[in-house]
Order: sequence, then structure tokens, then C-alpha cells
Amino acid sequence: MTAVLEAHGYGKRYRGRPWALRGLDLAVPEGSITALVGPNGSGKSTLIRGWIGFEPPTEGRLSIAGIDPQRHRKTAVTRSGYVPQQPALYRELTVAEHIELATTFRAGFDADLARQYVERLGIPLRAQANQLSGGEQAQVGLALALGTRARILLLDEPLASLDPLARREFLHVLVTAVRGEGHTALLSSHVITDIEQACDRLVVLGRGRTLLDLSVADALAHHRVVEAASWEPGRPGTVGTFPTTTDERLTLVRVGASPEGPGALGTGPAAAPIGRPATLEEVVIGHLAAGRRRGQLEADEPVPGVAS
Amino acid sequence: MIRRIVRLTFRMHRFEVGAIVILAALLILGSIIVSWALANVGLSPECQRLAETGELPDSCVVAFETFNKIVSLASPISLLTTLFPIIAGLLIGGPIVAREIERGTTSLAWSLSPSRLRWFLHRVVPMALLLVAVSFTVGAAADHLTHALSPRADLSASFIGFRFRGVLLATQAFLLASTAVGVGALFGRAVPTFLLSLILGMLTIVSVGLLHRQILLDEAVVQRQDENTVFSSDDLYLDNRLELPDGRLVTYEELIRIDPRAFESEFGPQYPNVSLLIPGDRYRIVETREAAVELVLGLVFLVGGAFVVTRRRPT
Repeated sequence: MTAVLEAHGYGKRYRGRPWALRGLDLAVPEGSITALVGPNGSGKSTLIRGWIGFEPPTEGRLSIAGIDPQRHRKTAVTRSGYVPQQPALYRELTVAEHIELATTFRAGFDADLARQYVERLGIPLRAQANQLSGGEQAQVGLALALGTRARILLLDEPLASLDPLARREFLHVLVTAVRGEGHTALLSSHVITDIEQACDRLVVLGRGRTLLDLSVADALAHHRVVEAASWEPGRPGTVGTFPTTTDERLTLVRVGASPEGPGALGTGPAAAPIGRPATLEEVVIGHLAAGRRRGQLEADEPVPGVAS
Repeated sequence: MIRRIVRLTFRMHRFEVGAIVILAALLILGSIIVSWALANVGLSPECQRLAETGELPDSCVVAFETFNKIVSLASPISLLTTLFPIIAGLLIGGPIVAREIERGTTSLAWSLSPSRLRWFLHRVVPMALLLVAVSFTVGAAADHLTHALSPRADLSASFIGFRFRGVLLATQAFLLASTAVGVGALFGRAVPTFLLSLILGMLTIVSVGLLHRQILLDEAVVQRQDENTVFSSDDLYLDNRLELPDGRLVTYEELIRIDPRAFESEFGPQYPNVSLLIPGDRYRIVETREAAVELVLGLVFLVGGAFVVTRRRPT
């Protein structure tokens, strides 16, 4: 497996604020569509912006296609297509003019390809950007990123402002393009149901670090949920406990020998399965709850030499 | 490709481009109409000469009064022409970088353009060229109007309307726009950029003027004053000095230190008063020098803006 996006002990701290990310080690394999999930402030955007050279690291380093995006920002930009978190179109320009603009910025920008994507999505090329809905603006952003023909796509929460249908269309275009061309995509999002359909890898960030990093298939195969009341806290494989909407509390349990480490017994041929299979949303929530719990424990730990 | 870049840049900034082109067109048109009206009053060169001496014969009175009425119409045009470099400079320079950063379009542009410098040049060069061309035309119209207001003056050898006509209007506008580009790159906010660059740009223009005045004082011609002295309106008056018996020229403050008793006389110090002037025939040299300094400072602000752009975050 060749990693095209890597983080080595990456840390980012903005002036006067706590660490956004710290000690992050991550490798995104070539040809994958990786979902980057985490609560607000978990550092998803910071990480993505770091890979495109927008955010210098405070510590550690990042690499994109084997190069340091800070030292070789031009190359990093050339090798990546980026869709920013907020639709960032020029409100005075039409969609067609955005495509024209991209050709003035970037040698080799495939204007025809970008136009095809826009037309396929039913967005009028002559429409002014400020007349487009948030979803359409995100689609235009994606078309521009795809028009770069970059082998690495970095998408920073592009689904946030989209309605369900627009999300589905967006992901369809993304998946078709990435799978068809053998590209690599990193997609940060809160919308886990969509990720399950589109992504083959899942990275959960929380408290400025990686809480989970494995394939979607492994995430589903190696996690189960049990009622928290029937599960003894601290048993091997326990990940985290979280509430449901029906006032129930569930515990996410890691089972079998997953790539993230040994889990609880109970799924082998000789053993009775425990609980029920976890949905991807439950896997994410369970790990986020565990991350929050770990953060609280760390915060409660007395610092040596400091009187409480 | 260049045509495409220019067209898209003007489309992005069509409000600003439209506003300064309309304002410039109004000023140019106003200047032409007023100049034409003044030229058709029929104020003869002899009447003009006599008007300057204050001995106006009856045959000139009607034409002179009409001339003065039209001159009063020129005041708003002259005022707006004076303000044009400030309005146009800030309107053009302010949004180029600051508004893009504020609206977040730099995230898109800088992720598409491997070279931020190229992005910067694509945005700045067409706008700067437009600004310089438009303000130069306004400056030429102001020259035309000044000539109509002072028909006897040779404007290539006269300081009448110095800094408010000709090429200096274009360089002032360029300097203000460049200041706004530099400040905008640093702050990335449109309103603070307008305010800060107005202050910084005006301070820079005033400082250039003050520094230039110091240089000009060393180059000034000394003109002794007596009751028959007639100053030419073509010359640039800089300052007064008192001439000591040994030929030294001193200011009043210096004289107090040298000879405190000089002011004891009820008629004031008994030293000849002299004026320091730059003769009108040096106008082109002085104008070119000041324009060059403003141009260079403007380029410095642009280079500073480009430097910040290549290093800052997009939002």
C-alpha cells in the first residue's frame, strides 16, 4: 500500500489557543476514498489545509505525494484538487467564467471535463454564482477540483450545506470520478450515512488526535454494540458508551482481532456473538465518546508538582 | 489569454471599474464643457492681463464677470478632481486582495493556482493599468481646465494647480491603490483596509510632499522683496527668509537666536525679506521627480502585498 497523504507527528496550534492537532500520525492509501470524521474543532479542516500548504505545521510534518507541502507548495497545489468548506465562488462571475478563470490559473486545467460535470449536474453554465444554491455552489467547486485532473482530491466538508439529494449527486460524481480515474480522495464530513456509501476508509479525529483509522469494512466487521447496562465497563474490547435518542445507553465493543488491536471475545465460531453489529454511525460515535472520556481523564489527572 | 484575464478581472470588479469610469467620464466631460465655455466668453488677452493688475477697464467688465461666473462652476469639478486619486485609488486597490480574503475566494483561487504570485499579478496588473490610464486622463482634463482658468499660463512651465493636475493625479491614485493592496493583503478585511489605507496613503503622499519641499528649498531661487516686487503665479513659492548682512538666509526663529534685539524695533527686524521660489520653468522636472517617487513607493507597497500574499493563509 502506497500512502499519498501522510502525517508524521503533526501538530498545529493557533496563537493563543489550545492545540488543534497534536502528535498525529496518519497515512491515506493511494486509490482510496477516505472519510475524515470528527466533531467541530477536531482539526479536520486544519489537516486538509495543511496538506494543500495553507497551514504551516507547529510541529511534525505532512507530506502529499511524497513532498512537503510547505516547502514545495506549488507542487502540492499542482498535485491536488481542493474543495473548501464554504463555497468560495466569485459571486460576480458565472459558472462558465469560473471554469475560464481556472484555465488562467492552471496550465492543463481540463475545462471540457469541468463543463461536463457541471452540465451533468444540471447546473446552467451561464448562471451567476450568487444565484446558485449552496449545493450547486459545492457541485461547481467539485467540478473545478475534478477539472484540475489532480490525482489527489481534498474535500473539506463539502456536504455540510447540501440537501440529501444534492449530497447523493455530489457523492455519485465524486465516486465515479475517483474510481474511474484511480484517484485518491480525502473527504471530511459529519454525515456518516453518506460516507458509508462513498468511502472505503474511515479516520476519526477527536481531541486533536486519531481515534480510529481503518477500512470501512473492518470498522463494520469488528465493532458491535451492546446495552451499556449489561456490559461491565473496562471489559476487554470496550470502546465507549453513548446515549441513543430513546434514552438508552449503548456501549461500542471491539471484537475479534481487528487491525486496531485485540478486542473482546464473542465473535469466533465457538463463541456466542455479543450484542448486534454496529452501524458505521455507532462506530464513529462510540470512538468519539471514548475520545472525549480519555480527554476528560487526562484533564483530571494531577500534573506532577502542581498543587490542586 | 491576456484578454481573458483582463475581462474576468474587470468582471469581478465591475462595480469598482464602473464607478471610477463613470466618475472620470463626468469629470472629463465637465472639464471640457467648462473649458469650452470659458474660451467662448471672449475675454481678450489684454483684459486678462489688466485683470491681474487690478486695473480693469469698463470694456472688459462684462466679459470678466461672465468669466468669473463660469469659473465658480468649475469649483466642484476642481474639488472632485482633487479627490479623484483618493476615491479611485481606494476603490480599486481596496477590494483586490482584502475582499477576496474576506469572502474566502482566495481558498478557491490559491488551490487552483500553483503560483500565488501569478494570481496576484492577474488581479493587480489589469486594475492598476486601468486606474493609471483613467486617472491620467482625468489629470489631462484637469490640465485642460487649468489652462482655461489661467489662459495666459504655459502649463508646462507653471506651478499653477501643482499636484492637482497632470501626471501627479495618476501617480497619487496608483500610490493609494498600492497602499490598499498591501494593507488588504495584511489584514484581509475590506473596511479596515479602506480606513487604514486612506490614513497610510495620505500620510505617504503628504510625507513625499514635505520631503520634496526640503529638497526644493536647497534648489530654490532667492527673490528679494520690495514694494515693487510682483510674484509670478507660475513660480512655486516655498518660504520666506531674512537676509543677514553677510548674505546668510535665516528663518525668523534662527534670527531670534542670532540677534534677539532685531525684534525690538516696532517695524520688525531690519533685515531684507527674501522669498524662496522654484521658477515655473522647472515645473516638468519637479513634477517628474515627485511622480517617480510616488510610483516607486507604490511599487514598494505592491511588492510588499505580493510578499504577504505568498505567505499568508487564504482566509
